[in-house]
Amino acid sequence: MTAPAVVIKNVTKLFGRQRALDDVSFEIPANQVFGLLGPNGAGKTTMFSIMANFLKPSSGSIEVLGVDVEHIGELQGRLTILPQDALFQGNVPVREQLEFFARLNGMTKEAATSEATRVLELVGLLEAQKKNARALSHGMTKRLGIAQAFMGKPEVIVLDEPTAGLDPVNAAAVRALIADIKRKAEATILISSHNLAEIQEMCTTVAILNNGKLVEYRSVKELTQATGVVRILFGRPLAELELAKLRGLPGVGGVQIDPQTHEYHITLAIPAGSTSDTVVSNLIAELAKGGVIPRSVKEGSSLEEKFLEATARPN
Amino acid sequence: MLRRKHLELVASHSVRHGMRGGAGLISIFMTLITGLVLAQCTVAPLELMDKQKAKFSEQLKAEDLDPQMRGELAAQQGMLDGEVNKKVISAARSVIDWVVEPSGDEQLDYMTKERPAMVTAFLVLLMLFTPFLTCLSGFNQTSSDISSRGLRFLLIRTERTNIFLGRLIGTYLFSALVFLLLFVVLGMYMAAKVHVHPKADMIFWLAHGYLRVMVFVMPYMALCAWISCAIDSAFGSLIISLLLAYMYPWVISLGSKIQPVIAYGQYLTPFGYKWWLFEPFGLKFIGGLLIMLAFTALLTFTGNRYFGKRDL
Repeated sequence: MTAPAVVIKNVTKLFGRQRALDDVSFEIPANQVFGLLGPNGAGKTTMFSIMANFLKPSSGSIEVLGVDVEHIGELQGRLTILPQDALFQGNVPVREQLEFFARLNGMTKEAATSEATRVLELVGLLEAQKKNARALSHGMTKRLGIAQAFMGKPEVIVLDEPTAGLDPVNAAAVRALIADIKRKAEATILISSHNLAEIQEMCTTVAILNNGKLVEYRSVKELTQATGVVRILFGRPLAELELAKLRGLPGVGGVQIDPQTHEYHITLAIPAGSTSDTVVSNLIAELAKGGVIPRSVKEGSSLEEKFLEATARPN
Repeated sequence: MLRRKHLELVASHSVRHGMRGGAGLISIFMTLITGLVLAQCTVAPLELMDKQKAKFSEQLKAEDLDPQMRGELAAQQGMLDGEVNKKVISAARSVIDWVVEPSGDEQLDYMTKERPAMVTAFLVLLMLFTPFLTCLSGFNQTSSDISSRGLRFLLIRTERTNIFLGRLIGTYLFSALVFLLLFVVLGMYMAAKVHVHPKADMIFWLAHGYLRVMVFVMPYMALCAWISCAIDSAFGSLIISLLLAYMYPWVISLGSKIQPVIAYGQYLTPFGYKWWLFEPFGLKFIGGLLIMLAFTALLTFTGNRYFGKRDL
């Protein structure tokens, strides 16, 4: 079994009397894309900031790749981060900043130059390389932040809201970049985002923070499938009779209609000796007899539903 | 862990972008203006005498000049020629005596007779403004990068000590370059304007003065590094640095007028030892040097310790 990339042990962070993180502990497996979720003010950025040693924990500790982040210099280039809302030096050209970071990561001058070119190409900023950072738009600044986070061969990459403020094309490009790293299992990526569909698509495991406490920690698959709910989208709304027939089918515990997505949320009541697969295939076959063909079938809840559920629970 | 390579990188980046946010530009401008104004104040009486002599020469050239008048003018011109050195030295001596409160005649003679008095007068005036000029150079070592969170891009790549010390060294070197520019300009200015001292002596003493001023800059630069990393606002850092640099000596100076024993309070800051750097080479001079280094080390250590522990 491979060692976890990040180990968070009983981390508490106080800002005055405000408890931003409250005795949070969990581990992040290596070479996975891990999502850290939570409503605004839940403590996600605080957690990432402690992980990168920007903030000191009031108690507890974090180890990244076996190194206590108090000695972050020992990780030199193995941990990178896209911090939220951090500004680059305004009057320093983009390329020069990246080369400076690469040199601090331990690269030679020549290697730093070529690495800066590589990451600038990666995020589509090569044409802006001579511009001062203050001349970049918000989206371009974000891409520059992503570029510096992907420099060298980092083993742990922390991305605090990487697609916030990006246009759909660039957001998709960032997701593709992450998917590529995930496919090659080259690094552990930690992401926080309010775009839960994005997290569901990219992440293997998620942790949900609420009011500074860990309220959920599971694999995305486990989290969204553990509900015994199947969501079916039909080509047209079901007639009363069809709906009644659906409710009467064996293994169907209840049916609800999502007014926004028009999906039918079918709660399964799987009879003894049966499985969810047989129940679902049976109900699709029965409905097809009446000419009702499903357009999509998804099992489980969306991450958003689970997120709302988890953050609504009293801590 | 202190890494030499990282220190060099951070320091050289800091020097290259010393004009970050315009603070460096203000520092260059203010240092040059202050230095040149002080030099002008020092050289002005000499220029006045030169103008007077030129005027006598012009008048002596007039063909219809009364012989008695010609005699008087010639006598006055001769007197100016003969007295100028004495007058310059005496004026510089009184300025130095007033500003420096020298430790004794030995120091006064060293500053005015052994060394070009006019250059010394300029140097002692500059020393009074050195903390001010240092604060202008050093107030923004980290403060604006802390408030913009730009420092975070460095924090994951090197230890905080390397950032703190690298920035401090870089800013000090930047300041040294600015002062060097001032001294080079002044060297040329004095070489052209001041003829009461041998040029080589003036250049030599200016070079010495530069080194002594830069020693005095050190503790104040370290103070600025500490304040800058403790206060997230660049403007706030500037104000607090200036207050600490000047407020305390000012209060001590006022207090000592009421109760002379308060004057000893000046020895709690580098300001109290600044004239030790203008002693003839000996124990007191070396003591001054060591005290400046000790203050620098103490302030650097305290600042670095604070920077290492605070949230960024």
